Amino acid sequence: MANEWNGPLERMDPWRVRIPREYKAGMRTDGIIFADERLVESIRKDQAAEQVANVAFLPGIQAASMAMPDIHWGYGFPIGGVAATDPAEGGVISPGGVGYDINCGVRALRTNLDEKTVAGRVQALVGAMFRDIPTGVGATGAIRFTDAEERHIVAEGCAWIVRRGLGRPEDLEHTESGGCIEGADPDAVSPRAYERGRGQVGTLGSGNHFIEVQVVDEIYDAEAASVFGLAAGGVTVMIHSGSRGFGYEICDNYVHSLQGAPGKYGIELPDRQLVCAPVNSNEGRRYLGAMRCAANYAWANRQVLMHLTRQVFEHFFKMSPRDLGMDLIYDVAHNIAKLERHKVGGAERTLCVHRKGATRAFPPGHPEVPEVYRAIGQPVIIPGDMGRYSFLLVGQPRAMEETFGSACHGAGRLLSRTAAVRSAQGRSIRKELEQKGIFALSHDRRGLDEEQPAAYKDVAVVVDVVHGAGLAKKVCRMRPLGVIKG
Amino acid sequence: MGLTSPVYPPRAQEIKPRARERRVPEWNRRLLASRAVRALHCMGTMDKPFEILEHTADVGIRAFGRTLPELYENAARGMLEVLLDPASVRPVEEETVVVTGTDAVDLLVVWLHEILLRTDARKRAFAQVRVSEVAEWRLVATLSGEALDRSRHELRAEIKGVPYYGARVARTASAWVAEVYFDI
Repeated sequence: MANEWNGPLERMDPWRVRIPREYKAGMRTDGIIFADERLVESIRKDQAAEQVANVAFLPGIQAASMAMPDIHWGYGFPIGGVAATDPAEGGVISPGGVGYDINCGVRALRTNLDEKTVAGRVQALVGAMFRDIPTGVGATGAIRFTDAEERHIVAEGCAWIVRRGLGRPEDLEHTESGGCIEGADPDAVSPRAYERGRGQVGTLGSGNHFIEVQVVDEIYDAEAASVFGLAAGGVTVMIHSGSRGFGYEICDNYVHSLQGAPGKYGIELPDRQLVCAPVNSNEGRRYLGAMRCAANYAWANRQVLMHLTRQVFEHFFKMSPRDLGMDLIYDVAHNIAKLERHKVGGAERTLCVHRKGATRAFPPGHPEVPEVYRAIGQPVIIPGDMGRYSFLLVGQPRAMEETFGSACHGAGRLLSRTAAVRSAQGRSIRKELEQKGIFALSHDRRGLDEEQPAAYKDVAVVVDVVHGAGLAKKVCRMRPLGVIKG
Repeated sequence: MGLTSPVYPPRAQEIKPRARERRVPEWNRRLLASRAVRALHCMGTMDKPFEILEHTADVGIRAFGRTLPELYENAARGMLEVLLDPASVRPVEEETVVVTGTDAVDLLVVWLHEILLRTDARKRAFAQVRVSEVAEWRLVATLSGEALDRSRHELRAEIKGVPYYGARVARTASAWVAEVYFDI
């Protein structure tokens, strides 16, 4: 399939371009991509913009089919896609609008360590993490749960994990949705999904999943950084993982089983992967119930990974939990569909908001923002590539006005995996990172080649657009010291 | 027998498998000398069973076959090469697969997903695949492999799913061709 896209991108303002609905018959709304001129060229390199146009076909879509500045080619929806449908208008829910890795997301942790404390020890620390935290293809969890326990996990998410002694009550307050979406339906999940997810709670996975040790190297908003418990030179950790085989199988099951739904409900779609059903239909309700199980599984997974990380650090630095102070700043989902209240045309409605490679970014004062952050806005965690930097931001009011409370989720890929492997020929990505003072461990050398920094956009450019467009405000920047991958 | 027209995106041009006599460019020779990339391509003696398709975040394959069973077999071989190095797996146990689909593309997606499920859920590693039958739209195959052993098997990538997006099955003048992407 031809990769380049030559459709219309009309600049609306310094931060947004529009694909007019007249571009393709069947589009119910415009497409809007958040991008400045630096990013437009990369947008045209693949078919992601066509996918933005395709998403505009979904019944009940509100405002526009949107994409964040880390947009790239996905399946059905583009990565970076945001679309809200109104169930009261026959609005649909689409498994492709959530993706295979349901509730792939990231959590950011702060510590009482600083760069001086860890200097000279990062390589050994990364080695300890790699040894004690299950990563890579085929790994199983260090902490095993029975089948009955896994049914509890998918219904109750983080709350069950914390009650099991693998976390603290305050971890729940600092997780989106408290680490559990109500209305999960374990009976809507196939036996095959339970089979595929068995033993994977507490495993990192592979591909672009990682646990990274970082240091805060620039602060933009001192007040917000202080609320996060961060100072320049402070050591932080980011954990990026999702719902593992459990979520992948649920997506696959429902993309397959919903193939007949568009015909049944008279929905014309330009892409089979956009298969959908009305939110208020049996099919839609069952998918939502199953998706919520996967979302809860992913939050539980990240909670266990954090517990294992805390243990590694406590043991390595011989510090008590209190002295180490490894506290959860926040955890965000970036592949999910949620029923949320939003204002459209002046009236508040309950909408089904799909975020596929996009992060919720609620503003100051929003009741769903934890009380400790309510004055500054919801933390928005944006991991970059492993060679440059990552960012913390806080949600702003413009996000509620323009993007249903959404912002970007990461850097967005530039190079295909095979192109990244080609460019790594004759090089050692691990050694190049070491020369920059970054220690990376992965089971598979090719995994590091595929995930090398040059394979990704510069996340600072992506974050500048989100900041400039008023969707979220920069708080601080962290640079990597060490990372483990699958 | 009816072919499935790809729903999206349709293409007018014919998909031609590459001729054996094609000269391999120098950059490609260097690439293929690398073990990592060689594992993803099958230089092939006769017809090339499959080749890699570029995708920004993931990977795809284009498979070829003189018959439909050969096509679906080569698509599966391509996916196995993405998952692991089949040469590191002993084909000591066989299991039968029977799957059905609503059309050629659906069958392709269901078939590849079944292999993925057995790999991921049942912790199996497969070295060989033999498709004995494809008829509207039912496939019968045998997979040969063993229990997954991380210490012995060269595992490459975790495939999350086999999307319908970009999946197609078409007939050219000389062969069947299939394309499919894998969410990695």
